Amino acid sequence: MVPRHSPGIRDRDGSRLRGARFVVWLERNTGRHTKHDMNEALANKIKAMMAKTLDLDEGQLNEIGADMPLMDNGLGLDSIDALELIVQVEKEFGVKIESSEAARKAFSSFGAFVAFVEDAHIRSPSGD
Amino acid sequence: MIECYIQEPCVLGPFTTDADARIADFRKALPAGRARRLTAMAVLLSEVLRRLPHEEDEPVYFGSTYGDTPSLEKYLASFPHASPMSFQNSIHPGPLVQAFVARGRPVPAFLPFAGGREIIGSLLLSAMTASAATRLCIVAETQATWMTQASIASGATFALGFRMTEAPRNPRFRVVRASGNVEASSIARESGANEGTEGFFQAMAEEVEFRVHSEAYGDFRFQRCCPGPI
Amino acid sequence: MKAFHWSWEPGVWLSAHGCRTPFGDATATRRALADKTVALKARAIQGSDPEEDQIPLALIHPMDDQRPSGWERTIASLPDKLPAGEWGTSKRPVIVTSSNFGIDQLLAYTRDEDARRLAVALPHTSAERVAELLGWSGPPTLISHACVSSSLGILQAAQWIRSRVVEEVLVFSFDFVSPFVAAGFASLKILNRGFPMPYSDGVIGSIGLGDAVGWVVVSRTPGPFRLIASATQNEMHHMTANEPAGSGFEGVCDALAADAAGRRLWIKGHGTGTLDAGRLEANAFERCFPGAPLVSWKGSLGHTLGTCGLVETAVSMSSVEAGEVPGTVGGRAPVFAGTVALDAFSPNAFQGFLSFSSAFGGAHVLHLIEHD
Repeated sequence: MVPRHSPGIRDRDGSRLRGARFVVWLERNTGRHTKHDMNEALANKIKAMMAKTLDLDEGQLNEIGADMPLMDNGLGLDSIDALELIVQVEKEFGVKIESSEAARKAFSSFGAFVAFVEDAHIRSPSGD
Repeated sequence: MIECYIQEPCVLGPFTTDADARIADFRKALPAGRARRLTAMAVLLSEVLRRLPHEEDEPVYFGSTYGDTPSLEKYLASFPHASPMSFQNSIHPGPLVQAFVARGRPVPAFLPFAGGREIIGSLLLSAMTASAATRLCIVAETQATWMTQASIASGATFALGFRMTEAPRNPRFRVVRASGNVEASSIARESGANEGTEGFFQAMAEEVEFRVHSEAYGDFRFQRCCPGPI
Repeated sequence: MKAFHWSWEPGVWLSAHGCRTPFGDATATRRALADKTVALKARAIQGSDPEEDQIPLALIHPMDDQRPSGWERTIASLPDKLPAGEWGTSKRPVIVTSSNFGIDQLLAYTRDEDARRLAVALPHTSAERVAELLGWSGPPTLISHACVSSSLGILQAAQWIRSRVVEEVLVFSFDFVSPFVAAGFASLKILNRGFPMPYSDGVIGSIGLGDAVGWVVVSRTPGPFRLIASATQNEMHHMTANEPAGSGFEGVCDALAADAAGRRLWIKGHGTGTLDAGRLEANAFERCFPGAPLVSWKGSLGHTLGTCGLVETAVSMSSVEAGEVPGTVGGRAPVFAGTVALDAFSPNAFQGFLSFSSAFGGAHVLHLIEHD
């Protein structure tokens, strides 16, 4: 069965990415995002979601930098925390992560995750 | 006839209006990194394990009629964006697994029971026939909100832990099991009868002599022993 | 990581086995698996985008909110299929196991507030309904530990038989897919549109979910299938991930090494289609039981959760009786271990099989079953 593409991450040619192609895209593209490139407004919004969803305090939030892995890090976050955050991000931004392997790649660092959300198909505030 | 001994039980609760405050107190006793994600029931069970540490190689028997109903309510409320954390926490016997994971200790044998009026009889028969010198038994319930109002969750939060031993080891109770008959299940004391986890909890908390009569699993008499030397 | 070893001397036997899957009874199920037929079909989760959010499910009944529920309707058709006799007494008790019981009714209740649903929504009330449908005399024991539930049910029954407190035990298990559980697994990102390929070395892992009912009688009466020993371990490493070195898998295997020595065995594995656990499982079995063919049928039946241990053991027993063990349906090369059997084989050269189930929290149950 050939899956229909859904709103989500787009490659440079405009085609939508799913599954293994998404994993390859992430590997190719997340390296270009350094802490200097990170969308600060989006990063702060995601941090606020993490505070609420994962019950993190301000001190812990201040520790989060672009290069920090979002799983198995000094904050004690793990895969379940990551998945809980993904649900909130899917709900808020309309993005979709298909598999646990794709989730692990998206969470390779905080900066990579911000980049993923930024590059995905983001819903406008009006909801479309 | 099968017999065993029970050491001094760990009794927490019952908590109703003060449940949140008591759980918060127990959470403070946990290392900060471990406490963050534990549900209220997991915190309660962590406190049981803190007071009654699991011994290596000891089988664990767990009984809860309703399970982690607050997590169940939270999971149901998360739809249509289902929460993986609440889903995970709602699975029986999630809260006790969380407590053991927080302690980072494997448990070689673990039998979790659900059930209504027969839950105590089946748990006791299972624990009493185990091939192990000691067994750790834990029974717990937590109250919820709308599920409690709908009578599909406990009306109180409580937990009971006790170590069952083959030979007397500072025993509080000697437990003797005889085969069952056709009477309906009950937990009988002089003051009256209650059934299931709540009745068993109350009887153990009061440390009076009592009887658990299980329709299918037999008659279990709890006889008080004098506590042995510490 | 040392496991708990359970010995079943002087003798515990499994008999009167059966199941119901989307293919039908155990015989029909075995035949379909041997033909590599896949029961899983891409279906939409209730309330999601029907074009986009399709997941592999193997259903006996449609996943709907009808009353009575699908599991009630299926179980109501079974009384004449189960072993005869008076079950639910002190000498012939029943153990019921499930991950789900009647949980489908709880989510449905939050949508329509039909209070009648609550009568079967809890484990013990759903079990009472099952007892009523199947004519049992007394209430059953309920064991619920996620995906090792029914394997633990067999273990508990064996313990009571060995202790001589009962004459025989009926172990009965049922799990039916519902939006409650499908949405939960989808949120864990292990249930997605990919079909499961157990033990296959790929980039993305996925499971499917399936409906099933299974049963077996555990007794002291000798027969073709003897339960020799069992091993259990609960890693308590993480709620959803195994200890990375696979020590939990290795522990239960090592615990049964002495009992398995000198026996040629095949292995009914767990093999859900996830990558990490599948790799650890396959590698542990290859190391501990070299040459023992390893199969999983979840690539066809889906993961039937708490019921998987029992229904797959029932299919295993039917396979021995039929003289053909189906291969790993849905699996494809490359595989994690050389012992993964993708094709069917004859059980005749073997003296028994290992039946393995695994669950959240790194719970493992391994049974060694000898067959003629």
